[in-house]
Amino acid sequence: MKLDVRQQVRLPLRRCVELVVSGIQFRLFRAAITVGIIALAVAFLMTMLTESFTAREVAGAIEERVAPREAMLTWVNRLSTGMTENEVNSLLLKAETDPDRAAELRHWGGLDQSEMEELVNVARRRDFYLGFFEEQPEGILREMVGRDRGDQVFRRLSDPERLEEFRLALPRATTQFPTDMDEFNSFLQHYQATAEHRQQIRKGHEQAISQLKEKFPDLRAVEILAEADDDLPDILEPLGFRMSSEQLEQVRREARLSLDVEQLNRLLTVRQVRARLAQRGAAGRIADVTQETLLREVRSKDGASWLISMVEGLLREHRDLVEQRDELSDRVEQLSEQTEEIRESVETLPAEAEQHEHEEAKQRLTQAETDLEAAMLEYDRISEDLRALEAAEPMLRDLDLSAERVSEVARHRLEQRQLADIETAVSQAAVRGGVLGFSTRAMWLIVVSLMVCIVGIANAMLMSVTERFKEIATMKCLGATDGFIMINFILESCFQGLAGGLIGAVLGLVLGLVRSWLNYGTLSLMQLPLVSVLAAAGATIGIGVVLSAMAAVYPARVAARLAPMEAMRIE
Amino acid sequence: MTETTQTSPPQSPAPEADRPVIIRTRGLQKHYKMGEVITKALQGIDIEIYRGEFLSVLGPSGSGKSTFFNMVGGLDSPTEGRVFIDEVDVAQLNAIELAFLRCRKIGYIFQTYNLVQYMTALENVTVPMAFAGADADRARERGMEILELVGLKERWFHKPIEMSGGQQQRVAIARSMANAPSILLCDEPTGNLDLQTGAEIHEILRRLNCEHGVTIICATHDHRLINIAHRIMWIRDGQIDRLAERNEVTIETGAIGGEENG
Ligand SMILES: Nc1ncnc2c1ncn2[C@@H]1O[C@H](COP(=O)(O)OP(=O)(O)O)[C@@H](O)[C@H]1O
Ligand SMILES: [Mg+2]
Repeated sequence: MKLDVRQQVRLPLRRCVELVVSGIQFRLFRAAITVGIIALAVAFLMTMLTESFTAREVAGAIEERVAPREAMLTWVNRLSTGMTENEVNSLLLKAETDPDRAAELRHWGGLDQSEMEELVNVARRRDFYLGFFEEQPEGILREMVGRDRGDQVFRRLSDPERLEEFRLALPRATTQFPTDMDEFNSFLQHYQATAEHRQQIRKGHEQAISQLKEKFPDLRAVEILAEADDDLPDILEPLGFRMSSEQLEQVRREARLSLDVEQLNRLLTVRQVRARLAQRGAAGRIADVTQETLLREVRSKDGASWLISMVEGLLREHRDLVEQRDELSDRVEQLSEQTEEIRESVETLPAEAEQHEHEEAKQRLTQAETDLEAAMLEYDRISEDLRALEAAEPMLRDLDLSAERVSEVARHRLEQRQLADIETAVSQAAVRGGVLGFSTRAMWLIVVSLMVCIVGIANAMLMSVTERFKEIATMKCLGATDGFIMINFILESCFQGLAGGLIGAVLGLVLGLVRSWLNYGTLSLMQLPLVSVLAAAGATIGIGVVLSAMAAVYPARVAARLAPMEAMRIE
Repeated sequence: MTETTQTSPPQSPAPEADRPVIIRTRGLQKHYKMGEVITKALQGIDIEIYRGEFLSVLGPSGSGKSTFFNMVGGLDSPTEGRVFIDEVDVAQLNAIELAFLRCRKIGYIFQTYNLVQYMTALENVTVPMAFAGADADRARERGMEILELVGLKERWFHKPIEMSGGQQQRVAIARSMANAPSILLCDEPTGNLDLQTGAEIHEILRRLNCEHGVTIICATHDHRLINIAHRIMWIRDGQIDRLAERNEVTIETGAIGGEENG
């Protein structure tokens, strides 16, 4: 009778899972450690991802919201300042997609279609080469092109000697030069050949600006935009500027806001206004009063009306003082005339006059002189008071805003400021670069935390294995293969990882949202990128499961290699 | 198998030459090395164990009983010598084949029962069946049958902590029988039990031996086990001190009993 030894059967995964699940229920506490660690790690990751995603969305939303103001500022700049070489080139790149910009450039440069195309082409290649030069470290750049930077580089390299110098230094560059030398040469020639056209464009633009100044001699560009009638585009067109009517609408609104903010800001130069604001409790001391203080104070209807009536009060005070001063000035004149008369009468009094008459005349003169002096003192005092208000008076009088408008302007400006703050916060979060918007430092932090995680889980699993030596050995006596024991432990860890991952993802999402809300305000919740966040949750849970599985490999090996005779041992 | 009744004392098996050998050991040695010290747990054991036999292994604590079991049960490999089960050299089997062997050919019963704490009696019994690839329903069915055999059918849903030591050991016996092995290795199965419960366990083992023809090798301190064994092997210091048929020993049981009492 021969013993029939065959290969032990391999358990289907389903049976393994069943066995693992029944075991987990029994070891809830031990499982809690792994679950907790994974939950923490996943929550950490999830928080960072949520924050990063919301930050990115918020950045987009902010861009949208500040776009009108930027458009206005761009227009102000175009209408008042000539272009640099750089600006011409970037406008040429824009002209590729924006027919209005193309038309402007053609107008100013007096260019035909093919000349324009050539310019755009050159601008594109220029951009390409500039990128290369910007990437080079300073020392190498110095060797290649001396002290020249930007467009100067291309002018310098038009000199064949300098070009040779550059060619020799080129192998030391840190990145590959984008094209071969022949192509670069051809670019330099084109660049040189089109330089005049770019110059023409700049001249044409400057002419347009000065023509505009002639048309609106007393106005700044903002004011032109703010006070524009609907026919402004038609006025601008002959000068080359192309402005659509929607753009006019937007730009005009922003320009007005900007001017009104200027008015409010100008009020702040008045000492009395600052003093009143401080008195009202908006700031501790007069020196602490800032633009922000004013805006915060007047953003409410109440505050705005207070501001208006305060300004009116100051104007009234000024008017009263002027009146008083004028009255006093009349009185001083009158008194000095009287004094003069009395003095004359005293001098012309005949010597034979009675003694008492002399006495009386002298007394009257003294009296008149005292009155005059008093009146002049009073006049000086009033003038002094007035001088303090006099300088402020034009600004006070200029304020032509209603209370509603004041609060509207203040609110708008405060929002813009807040957006700017958020933008800084967002860019500090480095959302624009790195993997998934993480900085290198954050990446390191994540990697290290995950390593710590693996070690923690491995430790907990190892303890679990040690505790279950006897059980494992018994299982092996009953026919468990090493592979089953291995899979058993890894599966168990995976389940714990899954549970921890789920908990962590929810926790992390909540935490991330709260943090974004604290950093970026309600804007972040409005911009919640649901799909990305869900994808991130899935991914982080996956990471949790994989981590747990990885951490379980070593303990599972220890378990699998356990000798079955351990089951016999009696402690 | 010779005919036996429950009450009659065990019959001596047929003469040696005719009896089929199920386990054969040749020069079995096991040395444990702990640092500088080498413990010679087994120092050359040669024995043939016959199919259907009930062999008791007696010896003081530390004499090498458990070590002998580990070798014979394919749980550990000897330092020297060979173990043949059905003439198959255990040393020639790979890990997967060993698992197969442990799963279906040999049943193990431990002094500490070694039940899986989070499983019910039935679940414990079905574990080896699961490892053998049986489907769950079939395993449960057969599990209940075996539990009935050890008298615990009514308690199939109890967890080990809800059972007495004797009951746990009965569940362990049921588990060892799950895949109907031909060999049962019991390492001091009654070591943790009182006399009465121990006797119950002995009775179950005896029945398994008689009715199911299972070869039983049972290490023990308990001299009463001699009464149901066919042969007794005494081990001392890792060597066979004495090997005797049941009927050769009966005369001396009194003396041994006296030893026990004294
Ligand atoms: N894993 C081991 N490592 C070292 N020594 C061991 C080991 N197992 C048993 N021994 C030693 O081998 C000898 C025999 O032990 P064992 O077979 O357990 O005896 P028994 O079961 O008869 O009490 C003892 O001296 C014991 O200390
Ligand atoms: Mg022992």
